[in-house]
Amino acid sequence: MNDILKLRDIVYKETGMYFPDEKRYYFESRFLRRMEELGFYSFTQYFQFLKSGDGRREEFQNLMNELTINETSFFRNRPQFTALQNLVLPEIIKANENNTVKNLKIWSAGCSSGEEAYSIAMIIDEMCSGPLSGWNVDIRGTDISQRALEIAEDGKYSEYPVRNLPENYRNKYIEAVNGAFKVSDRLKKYVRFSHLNLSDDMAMVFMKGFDIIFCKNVLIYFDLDSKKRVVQHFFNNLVLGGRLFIGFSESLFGVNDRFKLIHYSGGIVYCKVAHI
Amino acid sequence: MDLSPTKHIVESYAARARPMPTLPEAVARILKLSNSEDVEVEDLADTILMDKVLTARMIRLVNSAFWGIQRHIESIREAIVYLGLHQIQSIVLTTSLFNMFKSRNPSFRIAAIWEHGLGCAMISRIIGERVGFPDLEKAYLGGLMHDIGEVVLSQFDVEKFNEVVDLVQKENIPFFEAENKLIGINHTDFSEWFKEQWGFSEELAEVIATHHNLEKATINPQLVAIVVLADLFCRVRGLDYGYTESIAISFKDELAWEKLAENNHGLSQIDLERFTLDLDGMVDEVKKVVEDIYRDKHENVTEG
Repeated sequence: MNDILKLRDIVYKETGMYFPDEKRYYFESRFLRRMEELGFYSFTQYFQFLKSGDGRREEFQNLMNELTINETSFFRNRPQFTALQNLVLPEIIKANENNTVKNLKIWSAGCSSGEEAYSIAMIIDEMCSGPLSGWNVDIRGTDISQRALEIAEDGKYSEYPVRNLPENYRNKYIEAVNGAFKVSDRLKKYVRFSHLNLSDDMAMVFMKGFDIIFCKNVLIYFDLDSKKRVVQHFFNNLVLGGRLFIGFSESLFGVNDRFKLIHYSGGIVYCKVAHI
Repeated sequence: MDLSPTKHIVESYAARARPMPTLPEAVARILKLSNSEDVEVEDLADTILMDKVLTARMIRLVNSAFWGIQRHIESIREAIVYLGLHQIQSIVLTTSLFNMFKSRNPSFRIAAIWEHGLGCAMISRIIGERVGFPDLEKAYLGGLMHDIGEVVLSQFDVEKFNEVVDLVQKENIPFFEAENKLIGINHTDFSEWFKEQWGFSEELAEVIATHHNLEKATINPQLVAIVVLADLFCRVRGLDYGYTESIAISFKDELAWEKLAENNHGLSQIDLERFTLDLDGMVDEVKKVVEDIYRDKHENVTEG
């Protein structure tokens, strides 16, 4: 097999991130950037290094930073939010129709500076006067970086992360303050941020009863064994019928086969079912 | 079961669709030529070259990344040599079908049917390849033609069809359900009619008839199953009729998946995520191809 495709496949095996042939130009150019940095002259050399070189784990991290556009913004990967709004939440609402106490728990795992958690909160707030009225909603954002969490709690952003925010959301939930963009208190009341290391088994056990977990572009930095542990935790953290959203191009194949894979318009989601 | 009400409605549409567009002469000859055993490349190329629009479109289509030819093709002769007669037949049909029905319904783009058809054709071929289906061109044609009944329904009772579209959007249900509710038949009921009019094979007619009712397929259920999966895939990847459907599908729970797995035990182990991402990579290509084929049509329209 062609060395570039071999590289593509080892990245998939190690990180779960996959790029189809049509994106070849993209991943090839990213490989080249890393090779230039490391002083490798051929794809074969780089492949050998990723396969068995010293420091291969660190290199996978560097390569992932190169391959993922490591930015956070509001409504990043829009189809996921559309699916949340049009498919996942209506199903949860329907399933709880006859319950007197209605709790909805959503977790943004690896939330970074909080844009994802606040985007979810916007969708929730829109539905709170309608189908979600009477529900207790709890959105948790966790990250390993204290610095990121401080920004998240502050809720103040530059122009860049808010650029894709639909106009109506921007008007309703964002205030411009001294050239910065600040999320409104109305949103903040849904969201709690806290420090969590996904590899901390003890802490993970305490995350309970979630209906939906978002964990995008985080698992790609874990080796296969750690990834398996984290995803098994997620499985346990979810209620029956709960959903796990992961990043675009990410896959859980070979990591956990207890989830059911569901396709929706523009993406996939994993569902916790009783038996599979 | 009394089929007469269905037949009656199909007949009333058929009457309105008369005279049924016939396959253009060049296309009919090409199909006949490429079916015969000892066809000469020169004969086939000459016949295609008689039709200028067809020639231009074919050149554009064969140069799409989908067919996997590494070099730029500049002549029909080269295309035949590189692709072989079977694929040429698929391409001729694809390019010529698109123009056969004039749009009579200003509120429904007939092009959407062919976009979806071509998407399904390409995806069917890829799925066929993955599951070791023996005749990939058959899979392609099945995908291309499966919704052809929609052409008749959408164009020959415009008002009724617009109600169908409204219902589809309002209740978020599939077209065939809305058609059953409002018209009393659906687009799969035209299979026999197309078989008679255009001489479609039994297998192709079965794809048209049973793609929403796979249990009924008896002649080639594998073929129907491939088209059913391709159809579902197109719908979750924006290659539908442009009416955003909120649907969630578990492929492994689909009967079509089960049917294919019966004959292909490797399928249960398939990396469905990777397969999906591979197909995702194709979606833009499919959209580009459709745009390319339509380009000259739009040009013609603006030229009046």
